[in-house]
This record gives sequence, C-alpha cells and structure tokens, in this order.
Amino acid sequence: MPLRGIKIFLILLFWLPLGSLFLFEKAIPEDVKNHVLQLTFPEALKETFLLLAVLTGLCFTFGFFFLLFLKNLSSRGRLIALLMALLPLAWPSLNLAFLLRSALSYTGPIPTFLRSLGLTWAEAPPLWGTSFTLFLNLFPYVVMSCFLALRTKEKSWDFAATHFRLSNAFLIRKFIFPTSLPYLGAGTLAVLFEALSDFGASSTWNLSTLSTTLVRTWFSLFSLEAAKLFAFGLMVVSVSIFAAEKLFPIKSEKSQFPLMEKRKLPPFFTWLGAFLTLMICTFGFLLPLLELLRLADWSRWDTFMIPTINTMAWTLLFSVLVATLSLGQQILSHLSPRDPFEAPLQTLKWGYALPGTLLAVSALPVLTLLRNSWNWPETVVFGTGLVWFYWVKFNFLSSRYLENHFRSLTENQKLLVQETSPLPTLTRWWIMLGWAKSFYFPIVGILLVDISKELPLILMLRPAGFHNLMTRSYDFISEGFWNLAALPSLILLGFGLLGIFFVLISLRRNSYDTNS
Amino acid sequence: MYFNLCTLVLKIAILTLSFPLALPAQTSPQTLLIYTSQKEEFVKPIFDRFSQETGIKIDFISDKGPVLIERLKSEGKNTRADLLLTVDAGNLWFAQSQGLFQPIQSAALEKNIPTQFRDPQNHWFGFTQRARTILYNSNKVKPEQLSTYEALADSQWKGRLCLRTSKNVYNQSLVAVMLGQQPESQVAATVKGWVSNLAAEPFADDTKMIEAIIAGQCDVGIANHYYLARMIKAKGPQPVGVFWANQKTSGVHVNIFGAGVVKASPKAKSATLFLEWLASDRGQTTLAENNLEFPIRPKIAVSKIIEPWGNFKADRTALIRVGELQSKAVQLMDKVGYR
Repeated sequence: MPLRGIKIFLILLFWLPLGSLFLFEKAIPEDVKNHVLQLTFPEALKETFLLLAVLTGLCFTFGFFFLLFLKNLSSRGRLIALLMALLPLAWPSLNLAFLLRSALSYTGPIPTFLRSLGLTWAEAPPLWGTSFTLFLNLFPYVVMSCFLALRTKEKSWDFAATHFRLSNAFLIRKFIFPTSLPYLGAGTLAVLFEALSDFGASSTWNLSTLSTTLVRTWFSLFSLEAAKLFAFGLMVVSVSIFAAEKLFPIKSEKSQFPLMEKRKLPPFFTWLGAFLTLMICTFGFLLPLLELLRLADWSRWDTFMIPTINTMAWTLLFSVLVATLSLGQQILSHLSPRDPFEAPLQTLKWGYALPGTLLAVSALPVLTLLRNSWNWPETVVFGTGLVWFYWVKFNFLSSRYLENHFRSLTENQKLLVQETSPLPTLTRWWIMLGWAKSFYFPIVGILLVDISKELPLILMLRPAGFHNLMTRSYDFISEGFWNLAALPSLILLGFGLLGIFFVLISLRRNSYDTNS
Repeated sequence: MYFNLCTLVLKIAILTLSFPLALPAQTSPQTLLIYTSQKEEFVKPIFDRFSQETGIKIDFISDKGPVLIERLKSEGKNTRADLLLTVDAGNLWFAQSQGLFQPIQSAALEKNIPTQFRDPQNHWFGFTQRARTILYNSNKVKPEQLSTYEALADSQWKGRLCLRTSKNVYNQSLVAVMLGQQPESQVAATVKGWVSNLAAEPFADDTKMIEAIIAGQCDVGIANHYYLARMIKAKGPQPVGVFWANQKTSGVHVNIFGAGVVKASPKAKSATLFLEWLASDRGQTTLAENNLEFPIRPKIAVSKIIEPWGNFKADRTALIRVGELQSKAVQLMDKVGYR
C-alpha cells in the first residue's frame, strides 16, 4: 500500500500542473484573441512546420550520406568522425545561433574577408538561418542513429553483398536504404523534438515558431491565456511527433553472421562524408569558438564568477534531486511491477516530449495558487516548482539510463526484491539502492549538463525566480553584451563537452558489448 | 554500501545548499529589495552611492521588465520587493494597471520631475530620458537628408535602412507613440515602408545594428542613443552621426528609466527616500554619468560623451499612452510583417 501511495503521488505530481492548461481564469481581450487566432497562431504554426520539414529533409539526406561514409571507414576513422560530428552538440543552440549569425553577418569576419576579395555574401533569411543552426547543433542525434544502424545491420549488408554478388547501387537501393530508414527516422525525430522545444536559435534568427510566439504573446501582449493557445498547439505537434516515433521501432538485433571482409562503397561517399564532417565541425564548433574568443572581453570576468558559481550550485542541487527521484521511480517499478498504477507511472517519460514553454505556461498558475491561496513559504513554492519542472523534463533521460542498468540484473536478483521476497519493503529499497550506486553519479553528471543548457523552460519561469547558466547567458546576449556573456557561455561549452564525453564512453561501451 | 551512497547524497546536498543562495534572505528595516531590469554593472554603482550617503542597504534582483512584473503579480501581497526599477514607460504603466504600485506623496519628486515623465497619480516616476532616434553613417549620409521617423519609409531609403527586431520593447513603444498621434492607417503605412526599405533582416540588438551602419551594410537606423555612447566610450569615435528626429513636428521619441514603490512594501518611507535621492542633484549626476542617459532635470549636466550631440526637442506625449497602446502597436507590427 505505501508503494502504491507513492506511485499515485508521483503520477499526480506529473499530471496536476499540466491540468492547469485547461483552467481559464479570465477571458482573452477580444482584440488580442482575434489577432492571435487570425494572424500569429496560423503564422507560427506554418513556420514551425516549415522548420520541421526543412530539418527532416536535411537530416534524412545528410544522415544517409553520412551512414554510407561511415561504412567505408575503419573503427578508428569512425571514432574520429564521430567526435568531429558530435562537437557542435556541446553548444547551447542560443549561443551557437548568436555566434553563427555574428560570424556570418555582414560585419562578421567571413563576409568582411570575402568583401575584401570583391565577393558578396547573402545573409540567411530566418527560416534557413534557424534550420542551418539547428541542423548543425542537432545532427549528432542522427549521427548516433547511424552508428546504431551500422552496429546492428552492417554484417547483414556485407553478408548479402558477398553471397549474392550484389552491385553497390543495388546494395544501397535495396538493402542499406530500406533497413537504415528506421534508424535515420528515429534520429530525425529526436532532432524534431529538440527543434520544437527550441527557443534560442529561433529567437536569435527571428523566426516566429510556436515557442517564440508563445513567449512574445505572454510578455508583449500580456496575455497568459492567449499564450496557452500556443501551448496547446505545441502539445498537439509534440504528441504527433511522439506518435510518429512509434512508427520507427528499432529492434536491437544481434547479427549472427560470421566475420567477413567489409564491403567498401565508391570512394565518392568517403570524400563527400569527409567534407560534410569537416563542414559540420568547422561551422558548428570551431568558427563559433573563434567568434566567441574574438567578441569576449575578459577584463571583467571576476564580477560574474559569484553569480555563475551560485547558479551552478543550484543546478547541481537539482540534478541530485532529479536523479534521486528517477532512481526512486525505477526502484518502485521493480518492487511492484504488476501494480495497476505502474502503467500510468510510465507516462512520466512523456515529459521529455513536452516543450519547456508549454510546461512553464501550465505550471505557473499552480505555483501562484500555492503561494497566494494557501500562503506557502516562498522557498517551498520555488523548491516544489523547480523539482517538478526539472523532474518532468529530465526524468526521461535518467530513467532510460537506469532502465538499462536494472535490465542487467539477474532473475534471482529481481526475484529477491519483488513481492516473492520475504524481506521488508524498506530493506528491499536499500538493496536496490546499493545496486544502483555505480550508476547514480553518471546520471547526476548527465543531468547537470542538460539542466545547465535548458533555456525556454527556465526563461519562462523567471517570474518565479528561476535562473540557470543559460538564462544568464541569454540575458547578456539579448542586450548585445557578448563580453559579459562569454564566461557563462564558456562554462556551458565545457559542460557540453563533458556531455559528449559521456556519450562517447557510452557508445564505445555498447560497441564492446556487441563485439563480445 | 547503501549507507555510503546516502551519506554521499547528503554531503552533496549540504555542500550545494551552503553556497550563497539566489534568493536574498528576509530584508531588515534598513534594507530595500529592488527588482530592476537594469544589468548589475549599471545599477550597482548607483545603489552603492545611495547606501554610502544614507546608510540604507540595497539588495536587488535583476531581470527583464515584463518578467519582473509577472513575478510581482504572482508574489502578490507576499512579495518582499520594495521597488520596481525598470526601463520603458510601457512596463511601468502595465505594472500600475495591475495594481502593483502604491501612490507616493512627495513634494521633492513633484517638484523635480516634469509631469509628462511621471504617473498622474504619482504611482511611478521617470529619472532619466533615453532618446530613440535616427543614427546614420556619417560618410554616406548628410544630416540634411534626414527629417522624421516617418520619412524613413520613403523610397529613397530603399535597401538602406536597418532596424532592431519588433520583438523588442523599444520599437514597440516608438510605434505606440506614433499610434497616439496619427491615424492607425498612417502608422501602418509608415511601418510597412520601413519594412520594405530594410537592408537586412531586423537585428537582435541595437549594438549589432550600429555595427552594421558603421560597416556600410545600411546607411541609417533607429536606435537608443546610449548604445552609441557606450560604443564610443569603449572604442573611441565612430563614423556614426546622431540625428534628432521629428524636431519640426512632434519631437524625438524619449522613453524613461523609472521606478515605483511596490504596493505590498511596508518600507514606503525608505523607498520614497531612494526615489527622492534619484531625483536629487547627486542622484541625477550619478545616473547621467553611469548610464549615459539624459537626466530628467534639464539643469543637470549630461555626460561628456553625449554632450556634443546637442539639445533636442522631446516628444511631449504623456508616456502613460505608450503603455496603453503597446499591445495595439505589437499587433500592427505583426500585421505589416515587421518581424
């Protein structure tokens, strides 16, 4: 019963604030309502779909070429390509967008250099600027999918090519393309999720997506009720992507084929892939880094150390809390897996699919209610809100990590902690905690990286006193104080590189597992 | 083993909480908590000087104006803030319309601050002026070619104009003022003309836009004067001229940096003292030097950097109208495609 009670509490904690989306405290002013319904909402919907469509095209096309390129490489070559292609992921999209826009604008170093040669450089319109930035920033998700495709399918491709003496064109068209589609699709959908939630790149390039228009509606038209309309739109689109994700089930098949010589594809793919990787690394990482160093003014760095350390401390605290909650949730699932509340508990993963702006719009009324109607102490309200947001948004990450860990438990271990065990519940909790120890701190690390980089969610919650490194960076960048934004940006980049390190370790570990 | 894990978690939690927290502790009677939209580097010297002179300590939380207003709204009567210090009359008007300020009776404030720069019921007061005017590339444009904001919609500026994004409150206020003076169709035609004359996509901030004018991407633009002043202070003279717009008509659009005392504040006396200090000679001089803005009192000297730009006729439209018309201005800019 206590276990069930905790499960119900966790489920309510997730769903209740979302329910506030359906609370309409007051009517939207007529002129604002007409304006939103007739102009800004349709336009935001159109631009969001265009952005997603362009990104889908880019991810599928370049993802497929990248896959063919990787296939031609040795394992060391693949690791180098992987590292180069993953590097842009270390940037938060806002910083990457600002630095790219700055470097590629008329006054930036590249167009200035080209003008000195008598050449011109056209500025990118908002849709293409945003798409380009997000493509560079998020393409690593597709890259990881390509690795997964190679790991599980490559031997079957080589087997078919060798035994049926297939031409390269036939092999690509009939084997590689259809069987890699689910992997590319999964990677692309991850990109679309992130793009839908994105605020940084879209606002820097001035694209009116659902997320950016939601913020504008709230803070320029002063209408939280009208902003909820955009939140509904975001929810519909994100649920659609979530449903589409189910169309690409990836089975982790272990190839049973004997070792055989790798089938090489035409060298064209090697050259094209090498060029693509170099471009991604240059435009997605090196150029923005050089631009950051060019714009930064280091003379005042000491002024910003205390708020930066302060913010990092808060982020660390909430990473610990979220990791602990997720751990508790996973342990609960293993202690009583056949409980009727187990399935609703699993819906907590959906938080990942909900854009931060949507979460913020839904939860602010609940926080206000807690503070004013029941007069909860301020710090308790802040704490509750923060735990809720961070947990809902990032629970998916830590749960997935923990799930893999708990899956590796032996049947005897599972039996020991489930209901057949004669041990008291508390003892079984402690046993599970002991098994999870080695995985706890990597989760805290991953969460620390992700929470530090989260922008829209925290941006929208600043009325409730929330801040992270990203919002500090945003505050300065939006007013053109790049010199002041440099320190938090560099720390964020450092965190991002740490995250890439975790990804690389995890991919290599998976690779060893498969080989063995 | 599992106890070790718990101990480690506990240690991390204690270590983390021992850092200075983001939320200031409960303020003492001799401490004011100010919510301000200005960055720390601009307001800290002002607060420090006030504290030195009066012994009243100031804590502050810095964020964007609309965000702080939402925060005050959600905190309601439980807020610990004593003052809201923000830029743009639209923000001050909106805060007042939400019932967040208390009226202040002060002879010093009424004497020092002209009526158009304060609320009729004394809920908020402006302390410096910031002019949003026309800047031009002095190598490519002669001042005689310039006249009004509206004239920048003429075809002679096709492909030569740069603007900041309409998502910024400064341009929203400028258009709101125009809406208070001209028929909506006329304002729409002007803004549409600006959009068709743009040399580049609207900029994310004024500084980047001024850089574009200097580099020759565009010839003219509309920006707040202090962005250029800051650039000159940091990098020396720039090939950019300042033209005071609409001098033969309504006057150049000025907005304010102002403040109001939060309704729920129990320290109205100390808060009023701070406002009076901002309007005093010392306060005005400090603001002028530190923020490179125009003091609200004409007799106070401006910074040496902006002195050469001369005097100007300011638009006398009551700033309260800016707030009232801001939502309408946003809608108009959306309609004509000004991003």
